[in-house]
Amino acid sequence: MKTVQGKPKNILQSTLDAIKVSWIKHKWLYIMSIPFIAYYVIFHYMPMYGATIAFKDYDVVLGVSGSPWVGFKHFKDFFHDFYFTRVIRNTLLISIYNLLWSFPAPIIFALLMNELRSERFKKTVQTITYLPHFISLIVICGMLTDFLAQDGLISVLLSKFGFEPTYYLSYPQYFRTIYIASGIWQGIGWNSIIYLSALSGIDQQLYEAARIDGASKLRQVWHVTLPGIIPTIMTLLILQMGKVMSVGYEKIILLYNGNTYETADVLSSYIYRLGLSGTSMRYSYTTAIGLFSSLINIILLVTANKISKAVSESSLW
Amino acid sequence: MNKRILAMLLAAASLAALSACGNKEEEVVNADGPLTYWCKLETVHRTSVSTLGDLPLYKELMARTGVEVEFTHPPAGQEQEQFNLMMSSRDYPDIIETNWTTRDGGAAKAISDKIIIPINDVVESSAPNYKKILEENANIKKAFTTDDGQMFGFGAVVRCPDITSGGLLIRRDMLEKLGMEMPDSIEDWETFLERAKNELGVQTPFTTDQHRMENYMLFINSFGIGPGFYIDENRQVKYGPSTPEYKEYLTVMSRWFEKGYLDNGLFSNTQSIAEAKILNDESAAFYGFIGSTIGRLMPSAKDESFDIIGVNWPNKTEGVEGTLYTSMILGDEGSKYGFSTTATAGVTTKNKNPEKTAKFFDYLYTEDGNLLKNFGIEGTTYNMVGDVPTYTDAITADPDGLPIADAMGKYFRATYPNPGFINDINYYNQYYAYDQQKETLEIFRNEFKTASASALPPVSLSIEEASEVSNIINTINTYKTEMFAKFMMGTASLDTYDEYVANLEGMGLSRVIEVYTEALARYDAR
Repeated sequence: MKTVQGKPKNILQSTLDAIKVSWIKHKWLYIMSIPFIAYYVIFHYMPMYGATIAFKDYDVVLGVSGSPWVGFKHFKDFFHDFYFTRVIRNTLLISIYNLLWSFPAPIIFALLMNELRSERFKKTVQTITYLPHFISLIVICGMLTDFLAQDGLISVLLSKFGFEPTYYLSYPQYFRTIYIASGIWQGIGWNSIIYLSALSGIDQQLYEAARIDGASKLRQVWHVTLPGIIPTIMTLLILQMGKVMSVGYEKIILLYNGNTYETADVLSSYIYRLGLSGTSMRYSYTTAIGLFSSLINIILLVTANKISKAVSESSLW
Repeated sequence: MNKRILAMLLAAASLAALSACGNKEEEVVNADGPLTYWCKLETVHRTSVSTLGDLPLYKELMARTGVEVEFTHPPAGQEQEQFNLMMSSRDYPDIIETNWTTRDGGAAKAISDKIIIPINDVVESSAPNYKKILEENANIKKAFTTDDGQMFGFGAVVRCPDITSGGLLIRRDMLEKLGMEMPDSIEDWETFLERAKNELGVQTPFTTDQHRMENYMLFINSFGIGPGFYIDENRQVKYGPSTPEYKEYLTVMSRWFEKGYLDNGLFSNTQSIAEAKILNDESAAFYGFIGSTIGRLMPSAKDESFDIIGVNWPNKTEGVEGTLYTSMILGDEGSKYGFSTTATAGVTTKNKNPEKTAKFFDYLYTEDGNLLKNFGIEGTTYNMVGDVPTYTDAITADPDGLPIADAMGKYFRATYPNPGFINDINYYNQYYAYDQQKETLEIFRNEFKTASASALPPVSLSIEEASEVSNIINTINTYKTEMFAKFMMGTASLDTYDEYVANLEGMGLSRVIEVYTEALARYDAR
C-alpha cells in the first residue's frame, strides 16, 4: 500500500494495464454485455432526465426542456403541505409494521416447513400458500372488500367471537391491520421460497454434529438453521429498508376511501391523486414528492447496509 | 477504410433525401388533402367502427359539404395522455376536439400557446349558421369565447337545455304498497324510508355509493346548496360544504345513516351493488340515470310489479318551496339552446384551411345537419312521420341485438356531447323506450324550473390563478371527503362543525372563492 502514495502514476498505468489484460481475456463477455448496459442506459438512466421537472414548472406545451426553472419551490410547497406529516407518518407506519410482521412471517413459515417430515403434506401446504400470489391484486382487493363487508365472510366469522359485524374497511383504526394481514396472506408462501432454498443449502453434517452434542430441536434451529440463512435474511432486510418510503399505491387505492384516508393515505397514493387522477395533473409537484421519497429511500438503504456490514458482516456491496 | 466512410456518407445522404421527401409530402397533404381530425372515439362507436370516418354521418357530411376529413383517435382510456403527448410534440392535426376549458389557463392559453387559433374571422366569413346561433344565444357565445373575446371552437349546442339525465329514483311499487304519495319534502322521505324499513323489511332503504352521496345532487340540493363550488341566487360564488346549510344537511343525513335508512355499506359500495340491491328488494330508492340505469334495471326485474320512477327533488320542509340547486347553468334565461363544452373542436395553428373547416362544421348547426347528426340517413335510420323524425328498426331493433345507444353509434353521434346539435327532443322521446323513462324525463324536467342556485359556468382561470388555487382545492377536497365520511358515520361530532369550517378557511378557501368570483365576473362580461 505504501507504493500507492509514492508512485501514483504507476498505479494509473497498472490500472490501464489491468483493463487491457481483462479486455483481451474477456473480450466476448464484454461485447455480450452491451445489450444489457444499453437497456439500463436507455430505459433506466435516460428517463431520469424527466425528473428535472421537479425543479421546474412543467407545462406540456413547453416540454421538459422548455419549462421554466423554479428551484426548490415544489419541495418547499410539499413541506408546507397540509397533509405532509400525515402521509409521511402513514407511509412510515405501514412500512414499519410491514418489517415487523410481514418480513419475519415467511422466515418462520420456512423454518416450520423445514421441520415437516411428510413430503406430501409439505407439498400440499406449499401449493396452497403460493396460490394467493398468483391472484391479481384487483381480485384480491375485491375479495377483501366483499369479505370485510357487514355480511361478508370475515365479519360473520368475527361476529361468532363477539365482534359487532360492520364494514371494516370504513374504519381508519382497522386499515393497517387489514393491509398488513392480507399482505402476509398474499405473500407468505411465495416469499418463503428463497428461505427454503437457503435452508436446503445447509450442510447436514452440522445437524448431525449438533445432535451428537445433545442439542434439542429448538437448539438446532437456533444454532444451525438460523445462522445458515442469516446472510439471505440480511440481504432481503437491507433491500426492504430501501423501500421504506415507497409503499405501493395499487393496494392502497383499491382499499381506501374518504373515511380511512387518515391512516391509509401514503405518499404514493397521494401522488396518484394529485398527479394522475382528476383534472389537476400536477406533474412537477408530484415528481418533487417522488424524488424526495426516493432520496430518503437511498439514505435508508445505504445506512442499513453500513449497519449490517458492521454488525453481521453481510452486506450488499 | 475509405470504402466504409463512403458507404456511411451514402447512407446519410439517402436518409436526408428520404426525410426531405417526407416533409414535402406532408405539406402537400396539408394544403389539399383531407383535414386531419383528432378526437376521442366513444364506446358506443367502438362496437361497430374503428374510426368516425366510417360513420354514415361523416360520409354523408363530407359529400354534402365537399370537405374531406380524416379521423385519428387515441386508444381508449389514454385520451389525456395522448393529448399531452401531442401537445409536447407540437405535431398537431388540423382539428382537435377536446374540452379546452378545463385545462389550466383555459382556452385562452391554448390560443396564446399557439395550439389553436381564434376563429372569430372564419365564423364571420364561412359559418353563417353557427354565427346565428351564437348571436341568438348569449349563453352559448359566452361559453365558447375566451375572457378577451376570442372564439375558440365549434361546440355542442344542446337543443333541450332543461333536461337532466339523472336524479333520485324510487321503487314506485313499494311506495304504492305503503299507500304513500311521491315524497315531496325531506320529512316525506324520512317517513318513506322509515316505513320501508319497518313495514316492508327493506334492509337499506336508500342506497348509493360514496362518490355520488358526496358529489351528486341527491338531497343536498334540497338545502339550496351545491356539493362543491356553485353560484347562489344572487350570483355569488359559494362553496357548499362550508355553508350553514351543509350542517343542516349533514344533521339529517347522519341521522338517516345511524337509523339505517341510508345504506351503511355506502363507503364501500359501487353503483352496480346499489343497482343489485334495488333489484333484490334490499333497497327502495337510489340515484341513477334515466337512460342507462332504468334501461338496465327494467328488463332485469324478476317481478312483474317491479317499477322504478324518478322523483322530484324534495323541498327542505313540507309545503315550503325553498331554494333549490341544480347542476345546470342558470342565469341565461331567454336563450333558446344550451351548450356543453365537453367536446369542442378547435382549429389548430397547423390548419391550412380554416374556411373549409368552418364550412364543414357549420352544416352541423343547420336543421338538416341536426337530422343528419342525431337521426342519420333518411330511409335507412329514420323516416319522417309527420313532423317527427322517427327511428327505423335499424336503430330501435338492431339486427345484432345491440342496445339502442350502440345502434346509434353505428350510424351517427347523438348520445354524448360533440360539435353540432345534440339532445333533440325527438331523440329523447325515442331513446327512452320504457314508459318509466319517459315519465321520469318529464318529472326531472319540471324540477329544473324551480331551481335558483346553480353550477358555475365554464369560467377560465389564468395560469397563475390556476397554479395558485389548484393545490388549495386539492387539499380542501381531500379534507371535505374525509370529514363528510366522519360526520356521516358519527366518528366526528357535528358540534365540531365550526372547527371544520375554520379549517377549510385556514386552507385558503376564501382565496379560491375570490379567484372564482373574479373569473365569473370576467365570464359574465364576455
